[in-house]
Amino acid sequence: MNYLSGKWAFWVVGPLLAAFFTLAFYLFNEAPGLGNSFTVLTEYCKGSVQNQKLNAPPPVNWQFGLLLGTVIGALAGSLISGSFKLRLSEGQDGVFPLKIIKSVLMGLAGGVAIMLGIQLSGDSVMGHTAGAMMMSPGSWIFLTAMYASGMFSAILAERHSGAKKSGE
Amino acid sequence: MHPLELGENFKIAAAILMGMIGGFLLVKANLHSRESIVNALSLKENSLFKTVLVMLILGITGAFFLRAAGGLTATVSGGYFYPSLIGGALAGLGLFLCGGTPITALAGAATGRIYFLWALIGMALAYPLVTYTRAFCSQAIASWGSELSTISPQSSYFNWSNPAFFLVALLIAMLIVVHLLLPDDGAKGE
Repeated sequence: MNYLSGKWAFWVVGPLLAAFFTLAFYLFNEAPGLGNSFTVLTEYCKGSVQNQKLNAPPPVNWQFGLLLGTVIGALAGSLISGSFKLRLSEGQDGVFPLKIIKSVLMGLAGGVAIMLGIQLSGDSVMGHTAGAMMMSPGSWIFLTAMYASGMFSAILAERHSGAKKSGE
Repeated sequence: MHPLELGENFKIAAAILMGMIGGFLLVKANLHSRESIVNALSLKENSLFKTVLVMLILGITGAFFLRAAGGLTATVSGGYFYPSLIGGALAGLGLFLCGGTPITALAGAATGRIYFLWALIGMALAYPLVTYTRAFCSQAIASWGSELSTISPQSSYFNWSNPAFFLVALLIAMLIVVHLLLPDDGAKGE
């Protein structure tokens, strides 16, 4: 069945994601965000490293449930579509070890930048998306700035790599 | 109609189910792939923007009518202007570098994309940095403008003075522009 194995068009996934958020509003009566559970998990890891032993696990709340469910759902989605494959990096260009090093550095730098942004603005990207649906001005500013900055960086990198290739 | 008052255990069970649906949808939308996100940010394909725009258009409308029916009573904070702006700019740079948000990176890692683990480790590493700079950050949040006022719910949807309707109209216009100007990826499968 192609609709289970292939990618879905925007007019299918968009409405389903909107329904997902609307149902989450009704079920939890708040914007579903993950910033809180990431903070608790990191504090737990930090405490365990400092004490040199595993602490008692942090209290499980519904946001942890959302994290766990996302992992299960994504895994199921990739297994059903037959696309599950271990990948150390993405893209075809680049020499093997350099490609991996680039992937590690970009992942680490990107992770730090995105989490700093989230901490500064007070909620996760998912939380801001839900906040935007609930008409929070701060969430709209965050999302607009995020996509504008992301596009600016991507286009700048694209031009830089294009200029480098044409210079070779 | 009232918001569903689930007990804590039922809330966790419902969240796991919701997460499973969300994770599955992220994979189906191809949002778990760095390549797809970076291509969209480089304006090489329009499917990510069209998905986000349709989701926001219908999500704003859904939240409006759910609130009007009494199914949603919670309000969200208006946020602060400069922290939201600078936070968004930093998050955008991070989105380009690692190719995912926390939730899409988690979904990507679950589908075998090991490179997203580096992004998740980077996100965890950001916390000590935030702890050390927290004093500065809280001062900054307090001094970089006052809290933005929340938008009060309107009674009528189809009204230009309703910010939700105005935004939806704007997003529909953006959807048309994105559809016409940016190249289509042809909804190709993996």
